[in-house]
Amino acid sequence: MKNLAICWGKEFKFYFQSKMIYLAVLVYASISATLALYGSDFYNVTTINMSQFFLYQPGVLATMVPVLTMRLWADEYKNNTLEVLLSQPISIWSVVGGKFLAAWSVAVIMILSSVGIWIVVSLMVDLDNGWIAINYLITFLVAGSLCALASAVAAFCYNTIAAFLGAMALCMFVVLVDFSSWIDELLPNNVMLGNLAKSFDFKWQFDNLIAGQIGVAGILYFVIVIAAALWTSLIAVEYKRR
Amino acid sequence: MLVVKNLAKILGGRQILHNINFCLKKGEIIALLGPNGAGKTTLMRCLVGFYDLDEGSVSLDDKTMADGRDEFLKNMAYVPEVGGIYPEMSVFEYLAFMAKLKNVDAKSFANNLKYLVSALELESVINQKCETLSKGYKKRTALAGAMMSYPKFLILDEPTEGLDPKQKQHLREFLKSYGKNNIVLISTHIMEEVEALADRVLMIKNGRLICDTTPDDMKKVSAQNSIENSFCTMMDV
Repeated sequence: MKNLAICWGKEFKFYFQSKMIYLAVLVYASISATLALYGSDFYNVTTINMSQFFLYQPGVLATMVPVLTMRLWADEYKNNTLEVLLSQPISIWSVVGGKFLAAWSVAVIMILSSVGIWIVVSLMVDLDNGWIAINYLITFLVAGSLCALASAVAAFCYNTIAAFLGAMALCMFVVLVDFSSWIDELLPNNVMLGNLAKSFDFKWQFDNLIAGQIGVAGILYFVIVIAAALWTSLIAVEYKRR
Repeated sequence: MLVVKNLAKILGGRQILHNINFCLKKGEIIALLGPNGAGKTTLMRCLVGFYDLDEGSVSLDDKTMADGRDEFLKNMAYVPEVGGIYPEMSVFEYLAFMAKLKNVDAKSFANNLKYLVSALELESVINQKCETLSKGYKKRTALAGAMMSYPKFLILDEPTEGLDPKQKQHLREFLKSYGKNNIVLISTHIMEEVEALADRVLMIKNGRLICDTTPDDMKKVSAQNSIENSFCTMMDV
C-alpha cells in the first residue's frame, strides 16, 4: 500500500506540474456545460434538471480520459525510467495501480469542476440533491472504468499519440456501441443472448444506473471492468520486460 | 558477494545470454566489455531484476530474489546509459522519490542527500527541474538517485559518456571511493575508463562470457600493451 501511495503521489503531482490538469478541467467543464446548457429542454424551467448533463458524461469522459492517460506509460518508455522503476523494491501492481489511481483522481477532480452547473441549476429549481450526488458517484465509477481501459491501452504503447488514439478508439467503442440493440435487431427472439449482451453493455449498464436502477450487478460490472483492465495493464508491462 | 550461476536469457525468441557464470567480490570495480549487441545491457537488466531469468540464478550475499524481492533489490541499483530520471521533477524531488522507493527512512535520507549532493556536486541544481539539466548533471542526478540506499551492488551503463574531462575525473574518483566497500559494475566502451577504474574485466561476446581477467593481464594480449588493441584482438577471435 505504501508503494502504491508513492507511485500515485508521483503521477498525481505530475498532472499539476505539467499544468495538464488545468487544461483538462477547462476543456471538460466547457464541453460539459455546453452539452448540459444547450441540450434539449434545459431552458424549459418545468423540466429542468441535471439528467441531460449526466446522460452525456460517458461520451465526454471517453474524449477526455485518453488525454489524462496517454503519457502514463509512454513517458516511462521514452525516459528509460521503467527499467529503473521496476528494478526498485516495489511490485508492478504498485506501479500499475498508482498510475491508474492518479489518472482516476484527476478525472474525479475534472468531474467535480462541473459542480458549478449543479449550483446554478439548483438556484433555478428544486433539485433532488441526493439523487444528483448519487449520479456523480456513478459518473466517478464510469470515469474509473474508462481510466483503467485507457491505461491498459497506454501500457501497450511506446508513444503518447498512439496511446491517445488507441485509448480514445477503445473508450468511444465501449461507450457508444449499443450491443443489446444490435442483438435485439439481429436476433429479436433470442432473450438469453439479448440479456447476455446487455450484461456486457457499458452504455446499458450506465443508462440503468442513472435511470435509478441501482443494483450490485451494475456496480460490480464497472468494478470488473476496472479489475480486468488493470490486469491487462499488468500483462502489457510484464510483456515489455520479456 | 554477487554470484551469477548459469544465467541464460531469451528475448523475442532469441537467446541473448548463454550460461553466464561469475562471482564479484566486495571492494571490486568491474568493467563489463563487449561489442554493441553482445548482451551487456540485457545482463545488467537481469542482474537488477528488470528481466526475469530464463535459467540460472543471481545471488547477493547468498540471498536470491526468491528469498525476498524487496530486500534483494534494496541492495542493488542500476543507472541506464540514457535517461533514468523524470524530466518534470526537480533534482530534490527525484532523489526524494528514489529514497521513498528504496524505503529509506527520513534520517538516512537527510544524511544521504547531504553527502551525495555534495560528493556529486549537485548543490547548484538541487531545485532545478531535471529536464533543464545538462547531460553531466543528469548523469550525476541519476547516480545520486540510484545510490540513495547505499546499495551493495551498483551497476552503471556508460557512466561517463558525454561528460567533460573534469566531470569524468571527478566521477571516477567518486566511484573508486565507493567501490572500496561495495561492488561496482560498469559497462563501458571507453578503454581509458577501464584502465582508470577497473580491478577486473568481464568480456561478453554473442551473449557468452569469453574472458574474466584484470586490466593488466588484458593489456598483455596485444603487442602494444594497450587495452584497446587487446579488446579488438579478443573480439576478432
